[in-house]
Amino acid sequence: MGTIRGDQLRGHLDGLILASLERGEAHGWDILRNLETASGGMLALKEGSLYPALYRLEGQGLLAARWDETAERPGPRRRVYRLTGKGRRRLAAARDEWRAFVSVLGSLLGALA
Amino acid sequence: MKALKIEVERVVRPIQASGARKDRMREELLAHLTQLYEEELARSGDPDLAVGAAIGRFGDAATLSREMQASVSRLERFTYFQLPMPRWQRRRLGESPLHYILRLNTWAAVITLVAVTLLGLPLFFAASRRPHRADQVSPGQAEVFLIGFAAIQAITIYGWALLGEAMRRALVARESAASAIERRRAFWRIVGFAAANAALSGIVTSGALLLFVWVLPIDFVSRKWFWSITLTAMVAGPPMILLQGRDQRAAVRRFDDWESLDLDEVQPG
Repeated sequence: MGTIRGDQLRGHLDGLILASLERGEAHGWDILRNLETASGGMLALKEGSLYPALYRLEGQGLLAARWDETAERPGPRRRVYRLTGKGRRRLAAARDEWRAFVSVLGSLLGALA
Repeated sequence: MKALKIEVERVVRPIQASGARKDRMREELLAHLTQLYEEELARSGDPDLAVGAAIGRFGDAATLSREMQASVSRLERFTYFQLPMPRWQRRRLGESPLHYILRLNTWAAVITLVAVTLLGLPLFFAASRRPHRADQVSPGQAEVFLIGFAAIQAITIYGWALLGEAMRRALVARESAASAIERRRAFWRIVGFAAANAALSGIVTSGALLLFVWVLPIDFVSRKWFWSITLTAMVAGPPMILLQGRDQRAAVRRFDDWESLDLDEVQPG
């Protein structure tokens, strides 16, 4: 199986970001690296495409963000994102939906095979 | 690094959103792109190759711009919708903020004056042709009203622009003060400009009210309302000019750091 590109992830990126932040707050850079590591290098996102998703989730109140004022590296500041209570509930719902989806498709594909 | 800033600006400039939101996007995207560049530079050792590779990994600017735009609420998109600004309205490279403000406000004053004259002259001629009645505006009154209105709008436009620029400079001075004395001095300048705007607001508001009271043949505003409106304008003056100074500070920084970048400049890599 080849790498999974951004357009194949359409509709799932939001859930992946929420899941990545479940363990604690992180910068956009760290979120991408976490996703890459967790997928075993199978995810091939254009790096910039993470940010529209982060802004959208923040706008929906699923994430909260603050500037990282403690950064040791010089240059432009980064923002740190964390899950909100609403974001945790959405993540739980997304997991349930995914399980149901996989279960239905699994049974259909199994039946067709 | 300029090439990275240009790439970020290609993404952010076309977005219809508030200046504060776009500033946030710029800083965050630049931080990410810079980190990508550093990673690529460590890998290849060639700065030009690293810039090209970082931009390639970041994604197509036009696509990102569209995706970013979709993350902005419809209300904000509508509020900050802008038609492309004509060249003469933009700040020129090397033009000082004060010169730009005066140039722009001169245009605003001229346009307002022309509009008022075009609206007022037909009324003036109509009034001068018919026999004058005591309960009607006389041609002389109409003339004074037009001149008075033009004077008040000029004082408002230039006073506001100059005080806003003075406030911006005072805020920048306070921010970059090297000592407690400089900081205190800047603070008192801020207080002074805030007080000056309270006075300006009072003068133009009371002037406009007096003009209407004098020219309109009805009891337009009572003494009590006159003072209530004037004092309200005076109280609102200081916070308004403080906000204007802060907005101008952000706008000048935005121009110096980002909006003056030439997006057609050729990128390496």
